[in-house]
Amino acid sequence: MHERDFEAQKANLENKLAAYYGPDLPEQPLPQAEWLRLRVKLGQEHSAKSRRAPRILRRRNARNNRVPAYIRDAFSRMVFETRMQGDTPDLRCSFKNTVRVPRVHTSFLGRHMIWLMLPPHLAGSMEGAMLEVLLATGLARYSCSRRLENRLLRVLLAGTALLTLGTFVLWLTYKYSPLAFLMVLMLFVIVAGFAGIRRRRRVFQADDLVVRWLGRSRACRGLHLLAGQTGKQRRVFLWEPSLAERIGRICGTQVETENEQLILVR
Amino acid sequence: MVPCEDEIIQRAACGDQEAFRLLWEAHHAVVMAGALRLCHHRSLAEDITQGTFLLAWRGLPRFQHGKPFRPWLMRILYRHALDEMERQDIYHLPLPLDEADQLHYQVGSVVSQERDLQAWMADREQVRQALVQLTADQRRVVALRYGADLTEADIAQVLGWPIGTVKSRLNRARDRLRQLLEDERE
Repeated sequence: MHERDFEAQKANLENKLAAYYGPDLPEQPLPQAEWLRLRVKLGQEHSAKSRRAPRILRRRNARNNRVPAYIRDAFSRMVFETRMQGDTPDLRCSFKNTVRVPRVHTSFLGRHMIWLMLPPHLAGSMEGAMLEVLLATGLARYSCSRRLENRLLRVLLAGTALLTLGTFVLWLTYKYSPLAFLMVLMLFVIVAGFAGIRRRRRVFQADDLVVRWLGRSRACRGLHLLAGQTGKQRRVFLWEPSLAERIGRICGTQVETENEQLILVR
Repeated sequence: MVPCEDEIIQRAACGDQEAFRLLWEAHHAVVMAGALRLCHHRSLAEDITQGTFLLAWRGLPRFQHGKPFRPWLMRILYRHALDEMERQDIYHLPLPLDEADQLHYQVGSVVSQERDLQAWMADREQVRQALVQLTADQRRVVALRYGADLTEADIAQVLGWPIGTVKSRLNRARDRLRQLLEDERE
């Protein structure tokens, strides 16, 4: 009798809980406005790294590194089509009045980032070929900089820089003979010079990749559009090839290409 | 040519919002239905749906390609919905009448044969008040068992608990609910 009561209570509870939650509901489509609301939130999303940054830095990053939607979409398509999903870098944009010619650079320390430095008038739109060349250059340089030999070179350069600094401090503090400091300094200069040569070679390797991805004519057109921007290009390093040198190499000489060309900005 | 879902997911994982829109269009209605069934409040269900897709957007780079997308999305939904329901103390709010009407319409034939709408709604209110008195963890397992029709193994996977813990919490929750509902009847 007691057991039958318990079973009845159990069934009663199951029925009540089933009634409380009800049956499986049919699909509940939402209006288009909900997607637009979500899209705004997606636009405000930052990378996982910047989410971990202190609030004050996050605010500064959000203000300075806002990537326009047209650049973000072109970049994501390019990342997809160049099959770089495994190791995708973040894209940052910076609009400055002092920048005359758009340029792109990657992190020396090997951070997963590509920076686009653009003049403010390009915030709304940009010629497709020019944007493609900038983004492809950034991705290609990033890809080259991730190679093992380049990583090792960075470590070596950072190591010798630290060693030089340490010897300099020791020399100043304990009045050691300057010979050790000069030797380490010389070592640093040699390594830095070697790194410069490698960097220059890496730029050309990246250009070869850009030609493979975009096709020569598209890459050439993009580079000419960049060169057509008013103002003089400022080189970050002395050994970095100029735009004219890159154009001469890409448009004037043969670089091995693949038949398949990507059409990235639609 | 319509791209396959795996390709769309890969593009969305790379940050392509247009690809993510396709995922939203394909899955949001099911997610919304799941959220509404769990929480009963339409506006909260809409927020939960938004939050679920936002979490999915963040998690897409870690999504294992080749695996089905919807079960992964639904797991995110359940975790997020349970967190939001607890955070907003949803069990302390009376059930909305519009939702009750809609639900009654869907199970209308069954309900009209057995009892009238008033009694049915009173029963649901009684369950809600009993649920308030459970612990948060007990409410979570009850919601997933009866509001999402998940098995104990699935609940363990969603909540990241050992299956034994799920079983014991579910049994304790049932015992407590039975006791509370009996007390209410007396």
